[in-house]
Amino acid sequence: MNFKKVNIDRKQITQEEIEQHQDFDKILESLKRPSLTKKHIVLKTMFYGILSFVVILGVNFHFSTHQADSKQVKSLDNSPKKFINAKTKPSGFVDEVNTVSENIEAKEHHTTKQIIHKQMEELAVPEIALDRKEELPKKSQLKPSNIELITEHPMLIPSVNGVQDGRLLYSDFIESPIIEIGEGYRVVSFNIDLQSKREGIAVSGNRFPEAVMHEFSLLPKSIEFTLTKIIIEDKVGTQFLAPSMRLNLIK
Amino acid sequence: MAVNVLYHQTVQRIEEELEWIRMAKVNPAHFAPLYKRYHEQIFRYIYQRMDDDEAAYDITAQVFIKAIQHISTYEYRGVPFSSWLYRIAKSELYQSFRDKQSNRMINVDTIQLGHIVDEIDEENDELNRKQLINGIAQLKEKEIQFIEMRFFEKRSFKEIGEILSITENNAKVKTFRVLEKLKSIVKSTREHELQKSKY
Repeated sequence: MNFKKVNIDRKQITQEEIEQHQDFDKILESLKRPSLTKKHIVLKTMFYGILSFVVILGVNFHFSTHQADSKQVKSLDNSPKKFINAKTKPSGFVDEVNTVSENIEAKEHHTTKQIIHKQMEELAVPEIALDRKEELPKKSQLKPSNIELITEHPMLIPSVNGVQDGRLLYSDFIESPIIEIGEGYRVVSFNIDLQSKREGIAVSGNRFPEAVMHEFSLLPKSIEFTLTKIIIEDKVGTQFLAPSMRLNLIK
Repeated sequence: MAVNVLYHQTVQRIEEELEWIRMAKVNPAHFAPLYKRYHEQIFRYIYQRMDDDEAAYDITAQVFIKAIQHISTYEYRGVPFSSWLYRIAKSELYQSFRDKQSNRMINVDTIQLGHIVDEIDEENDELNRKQLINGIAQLKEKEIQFIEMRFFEKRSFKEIGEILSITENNAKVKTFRVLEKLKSIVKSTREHELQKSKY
C-alpha cells in the first residue's frame, strides 16, 4: 500500500448527499442472497479439500505398497532366536560395504512381485499367478524337507530352526525368508537368482517365499538357486559383503 | 480545538443502542436505527481515506452487511458500538486497498493544517504548510491515523481511543508523539532546503 497520495481541500460531501445513498432495504436484500465471496470461499474450500484428499490417498497408497514389501524383512530382522552358534568371524568378507547396501536398498523400491512380473514379461514366458496364494504350498501341506548347501562356506549357512550340518528344515524356511549366520551376525539383505529346471523360467528377487516357493511348488523334486549380494551385519553395525552361495531346495 | 459533537456518547445513548442490538440479534430488520445513526460517520471515515466516492459508498454498505452478519458475536465490554463498526470499516477499507491495489488517500484540510502548524509551534505560512503536508506523507500509517482523526475528522481523544482500542490518555500521548515527530521532520526538511539554497 502506498501512502504518498495526498489530496488537499477535497470537496466535502454534504449530509443530504450521504442520506440519499442510505438504503437499508438494499442491505437486507443483499443479506438474503449468498454473496459472491461466500461462493468463492465454498468453491475454494471444496477444491483444496478434494485436492488434499487425493494427495493423502496417493501418499497412503504409496506407503502401503512400499511397507507391505518391507514389513516381512523387518519382522524377520528381529528374530534373534534363529541365530546359530559360530565362534569365529566369517572369513572372506569384504569390509565396510555400507555403500553397497545403500545401493541395494535404493533398488528395492519395487516389490518382489513387480520384479518377477517384469522379468517374466522380458522373457516372454507365461505369467505365473503369484497373486493367488492358494497356488503356493501351504505350510500344513508341506512335509519337512531339506535345503542342501551346494557351495559350502564355514560361516555362511542358511539357517532357521533345526539347521544341522548345512541342511535346514524347509517348513520353517518358507516363513523365514532371511538367512542368518553365526551368533552376533545377521544377514541384512540378499538377492536370489533362481534358475528353474523348467525351461525358460528365471526368477530373481530378494525375498524368499514367493519367488522360490512358487517354483518349488511347480517342480517335482528340487530347485536350485543362488544367493548373491549377501550383506551381513555384526553387533556393532558394521556390514560385510559375503560371497555368493548356491543352494538346492529338495522336496 | 472544538471537537465534533456527533461522536459524543452518553450513557443513555449507549443503553438505547444496546437495546437495538439485542433486537437486531433476533431480527436483522431491527438493525435499521443503528444503520441510520452510524451510516454517515462510517461513510465519512471511509471517504476520508480514499479518493473514489462510489467505492466509498460500496465499502460503507459492505461494512453494515458484515456488521449485521456478525451482530450475534457482539458483546458490550464498555466500548461503544461505534468502535466495533469502525474496526469493521478499517478492515474492509484495507481489504479494498489490497484487492484493487489502490493508494491509501490522505485528505488534507488546509484550515485544519493551520491548527497543526500552531500545535507544533511553527509560523503559519505557506512554506510551513507545504512542508507539513510532505511531513504527513512521510509518517507511517499508524501515525497518520492520529493526525487524521484528531485534526481532519475533529475527533475527541476519547473517540480516537475507542476506535483504536486504546485508552483516552494513550490516544493523547500518541498524538503528541506524532506531532513531535512531525515537527522534527518539518525542521530537518527546512534545514536541508536551507543548505541546498546556500549552494
